Amino acid sequence: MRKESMDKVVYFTGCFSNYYDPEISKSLVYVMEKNGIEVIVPGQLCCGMPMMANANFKGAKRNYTKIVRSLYEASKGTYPIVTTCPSCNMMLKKEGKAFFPSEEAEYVSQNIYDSSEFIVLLDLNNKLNKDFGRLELKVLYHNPCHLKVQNIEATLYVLKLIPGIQVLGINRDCCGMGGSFGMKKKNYPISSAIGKKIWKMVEDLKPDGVVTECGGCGLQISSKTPIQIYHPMVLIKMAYSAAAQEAA
Amino acid sequence: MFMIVNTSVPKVFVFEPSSDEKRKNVASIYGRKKIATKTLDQIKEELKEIRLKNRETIETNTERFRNTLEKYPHLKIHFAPDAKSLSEIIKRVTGIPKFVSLNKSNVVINEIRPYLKKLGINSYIRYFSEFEDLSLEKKFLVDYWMLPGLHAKNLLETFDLKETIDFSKNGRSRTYVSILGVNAASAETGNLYFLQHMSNISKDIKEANTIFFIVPLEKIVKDDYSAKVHVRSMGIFGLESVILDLKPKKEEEFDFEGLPFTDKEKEIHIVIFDNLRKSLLSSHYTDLLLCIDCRACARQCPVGQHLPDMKDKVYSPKNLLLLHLQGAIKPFELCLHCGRCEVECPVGIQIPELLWKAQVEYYQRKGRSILKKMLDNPELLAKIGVYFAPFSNWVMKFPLVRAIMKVFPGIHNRAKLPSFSQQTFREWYEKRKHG
Repeated sequence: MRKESMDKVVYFTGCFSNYYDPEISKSLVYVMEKNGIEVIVPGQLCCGMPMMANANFKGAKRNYTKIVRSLYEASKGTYPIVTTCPSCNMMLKKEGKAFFPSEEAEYVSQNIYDSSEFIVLLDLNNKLNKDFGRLELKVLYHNPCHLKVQNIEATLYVLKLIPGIQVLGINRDCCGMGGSFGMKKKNYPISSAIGKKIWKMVEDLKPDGVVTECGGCGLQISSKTPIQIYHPMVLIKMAYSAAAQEAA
Repeated sequence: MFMIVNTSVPKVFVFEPSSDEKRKNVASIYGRKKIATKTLDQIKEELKEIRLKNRETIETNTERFRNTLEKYPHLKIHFAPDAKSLSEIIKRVTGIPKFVSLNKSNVVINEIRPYLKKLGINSYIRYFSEFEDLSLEKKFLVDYWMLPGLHAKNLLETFDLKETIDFSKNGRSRTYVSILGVNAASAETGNLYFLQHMSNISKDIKEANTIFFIVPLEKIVKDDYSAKVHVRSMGIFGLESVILDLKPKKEEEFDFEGLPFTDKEKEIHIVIFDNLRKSLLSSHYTDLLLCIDCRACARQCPVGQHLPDMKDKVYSPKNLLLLHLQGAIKPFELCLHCGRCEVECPVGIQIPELLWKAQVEYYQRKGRSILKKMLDNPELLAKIGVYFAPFSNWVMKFPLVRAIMKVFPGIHNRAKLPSFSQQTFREWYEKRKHG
């Protein structure tokens, strides 16, 4: 990546953080601005993955094609594209272009980063603001399937950067949610059977919270025992805020 | 390692987990100098190359295999375009045999057995008669995450040739029919290859009076070397999935060793089996012909171990996809689309995408239900929810509302649903930008 391209990022929000948990997206904006990076949020729709999962080919094509065009134009061949949702990331990096190939799709696929992945990239380029305060938190990290299959574990790297955070355990197995899969009546028993492992882990390790990038996984994990779910961007924002408080 | 004896008679080679190699490797885990072995990636690379080349020559390989076999008058060669005609061939040759033994292969159990049943032919999967203790009903492994992770322990060289069976030596046999899905077949020599974890396949080949070797098109490979790589890879990549399925099934148990001997001459039938495979060549499902049926894709499948109707099937996501394409079942919709099967596949078949494709094609033909249409647009539901939040969040908590939702859009009444935000992120962002 060219050096001058790091002063702005194009952000694809995804439905979860836009409609249900805007704190994730707001944290991303906060974190980027702390690093002198402007966040561009171009017009966007649902990434199309839920449509593909329900065999709505036309709807998925309509959404996906509009999105990649919008991201392509906003990126101007320069700015990296960042996501906070693992499933949107996988759809835009890999799944979508297999069904709806185009020049824009290919471009988006090549220039898209998971938010933690982007933080690591900043650090590797010595551009990360590491003015983190201490967070006394014992956490469990859950690696969502859609990052696991892309071999992305950048969040573990990020967690090491924040002083005070202790990772009690890592789960790389499926939680059973699969987007809306686990909410459906016919899938609920299977989903709960798969969820047993992570629920037991939470019960045994008794962490202060679970760190995961995926909103769906977060829902599943906290559905049996109420536990705080942290998106890595939320944690980084907390660490910056803690530093400000320590200074004050 | 083994040498293939140059002979004019097709033989059967049976591969098994090899105790010698295993011992060496296990020793190497405990500090003994590691023996030189290929890495998992090197094995994958070689396998993939062989499989890709093989797919290009599938038709010439089949022709060559057939020509090779036709030189041997003691073998009866058949061709079956589909499972129905294959079971009719079996019925024509054997009538309705009393005792039929099957190996636990995708082709025999998933594709052929339902048609045998329709013809009134009863059968047993002999694999399950090999368990020592059938009172052992408790299954110890219920999920892939309980697997021991054998690859990581360098157990790559653990599959090797166990037995070579020569048909020209005609021993005594028992009066039963064995139907065996072949794991690989060499077009050059006509030799057949199997992988076994129990000893049921060797026993059947030696003991059954009538044997049907079922050779699916994609399992016919150029030569014995390719067949060997193929079968060993099946062992290596499928090892962990085999463990997931280790559970006795009493209903499959039958004492074939108690059947009487016969002096009747042994009958060997080799059936070249298509069942849609040739037409896959020119479709976008052509990568399914790279499959070696190792079932690595089942290894990390989160739903595989929890499916209710899998008792009489050999499960893998790919198997269910193929069965659907063959017209035997509806598309597999219990898929989470987690993508793990694709990562596990040693030949890189993009199974999740193909499953989506099959689902889309099916519903383009059949039309989608209202339920599907309701669920396919979470963004629209979210927009409505956000518009009415916090009222919508409050309403959703009522058992009556949840009960209605369970009936109509198919949401389970105990499932945890996300709460709608009163202001979306994008509204916040726009307001901040302009305000």
